[in-house]
Amino acid sequence: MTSRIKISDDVLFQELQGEAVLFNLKSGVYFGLDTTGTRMWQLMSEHGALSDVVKAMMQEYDVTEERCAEDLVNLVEKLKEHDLVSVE
Amino acid sequence: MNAVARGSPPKVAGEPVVLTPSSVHLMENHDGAYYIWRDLGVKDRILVHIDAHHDMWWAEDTKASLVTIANFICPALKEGIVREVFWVVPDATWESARARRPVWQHVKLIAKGFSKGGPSAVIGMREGRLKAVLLGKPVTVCPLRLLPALGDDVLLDIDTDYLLIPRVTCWNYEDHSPVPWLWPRDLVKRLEEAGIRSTVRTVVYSVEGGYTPLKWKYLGDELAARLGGSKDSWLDGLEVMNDGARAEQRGEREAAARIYSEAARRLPDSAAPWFRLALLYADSGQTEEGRNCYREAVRRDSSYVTAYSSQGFHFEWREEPERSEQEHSRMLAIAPQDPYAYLGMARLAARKKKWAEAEDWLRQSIEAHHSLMDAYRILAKVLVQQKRYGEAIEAYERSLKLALAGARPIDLILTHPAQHVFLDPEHSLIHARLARLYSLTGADRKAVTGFRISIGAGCDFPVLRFRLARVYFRQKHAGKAAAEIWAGVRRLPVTMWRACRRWVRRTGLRLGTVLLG
Repeated sequence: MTSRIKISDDVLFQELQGEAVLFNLKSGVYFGLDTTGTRMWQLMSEHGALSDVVKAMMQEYDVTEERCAEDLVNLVEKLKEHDLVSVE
Repeated sequence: MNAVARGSPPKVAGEPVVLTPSSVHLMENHDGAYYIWRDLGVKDRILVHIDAHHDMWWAEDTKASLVTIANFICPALKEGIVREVFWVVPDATWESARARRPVWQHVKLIAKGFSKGGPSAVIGMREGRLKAVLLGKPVTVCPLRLLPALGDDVLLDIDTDYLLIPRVTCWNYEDHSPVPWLWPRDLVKRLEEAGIRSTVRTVVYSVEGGYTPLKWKYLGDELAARLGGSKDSWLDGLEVMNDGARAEQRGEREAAARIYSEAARRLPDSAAPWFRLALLYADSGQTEEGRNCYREAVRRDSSYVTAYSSQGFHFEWREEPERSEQEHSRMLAIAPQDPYAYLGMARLAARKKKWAEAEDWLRQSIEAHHSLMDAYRILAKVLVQQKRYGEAIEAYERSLKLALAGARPIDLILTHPAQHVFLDPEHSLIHARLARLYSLTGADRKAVTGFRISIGAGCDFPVLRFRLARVYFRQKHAGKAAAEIWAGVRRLPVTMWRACRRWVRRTGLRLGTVLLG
């Protein structure tokens, strides 16, 4: 949770009625996010630090820290897999 | 809380299946045959592909791209599953040089595609058969009567549409014969006479896509039963179905209804006789009876609820709107909540620019099926025509969300259901349309992103670059705007050249169709 997220310049984010689509200009891959994933993405682009994202999410959602961190790590792993973010 | 990631890139793996080497494998989509051969560990076999379509389009990289019903023989050739192909075409395709022309056209195009991967060429006519080589492997096209004696244990692969499409066509939607030009019993008999021996047999329905009309789906069951050596009452029941179809063809509706009722008694688990009865009742105005029968059909087999329950879309694609409307209307008579029939009616109304009527049909379609992506896309177009941009944005956004969640357009070339992949060929185009609407409603930031996504995903057209430049100007980003205008201007010659080529090709095709009747 001490890591920081860097969003690639080649990634475009478009919100669609609370959900979102990410598009990687380099690879041409689309990536859909549900409402929670969209919020996580917004917070990651705002804060960068994963610990800050978890804190913000816990204020907005009724969720335990462990569960929130687990979901966030899962999402970051998938995003990394598609070269949408890098972890510093 | 659950963060869901969707829209990941294609996976090619099929579902793991347990197979017995001597069984007949019956499936809906033809690419399923490739996965069966692959999972059985089949190698170096002769494929006898009995089909009104070749299914041999070139697939560049089958690991990364999709194996579809149109190209699944390509990976089978590449991977050494198949060493030789016999494409058996419907008899009438071979009755004259003119009738064979579409096959020539296809084979030339196939060989051109395969030449990227290895030695491939059309050899020509030899002993009445069309010969070609793909990746160094022999391919023969011929009707059943010219199929040579093959001593090997072949991969026998039959598409039900072979029985119903009398002629192979090229770039045209085919005609279906009113009754099969060859019945399953006769096909199996002819295969036996030709000495075809096979322990791996695949039979496909091909209803999805409109290749086999749903009312003939049961012929696939009959083929599988006959190839599997079944001689039980199930086969007798299917023969009764065929008697009913023949009576119907002679115009003897009452007799047909009696025969189908008898078939329903003999085939208690089959949807086929009930569906036939439903159509008969609908045609004679007995809608209540028709509805009851359709309900019985769906109760037995839920696959009878599909965009291809009727031939409405098939006729629309064939530019026969009246027949299309008849089909959709008949479907609505027996299934008043059928979302696809509503969608079909809406598409027809939109073609006539009857926007209010189209919207009405679309609202009913969406009401019946909340995640029908095509309905949202046409609704958006209809709303744009009425200058209701805010609502159109909502409809387009909804359609994109559905696509990302796995929805696919009804007229897309299909893939095996085991492949859960992102399939929306219009996705980037919809982002462009949406971007234009954002721009018209002053949502400039979203418009910029939309145009950039669309251009980045392959819609790099000058018009989109110019529209993006206009938004940048509005945002006072003169440098970015100038860059987009320059990029657009640079694309102009290529775009115009392609447009000219398309026009010439289309005009040539139309002219060819007129001259050849």
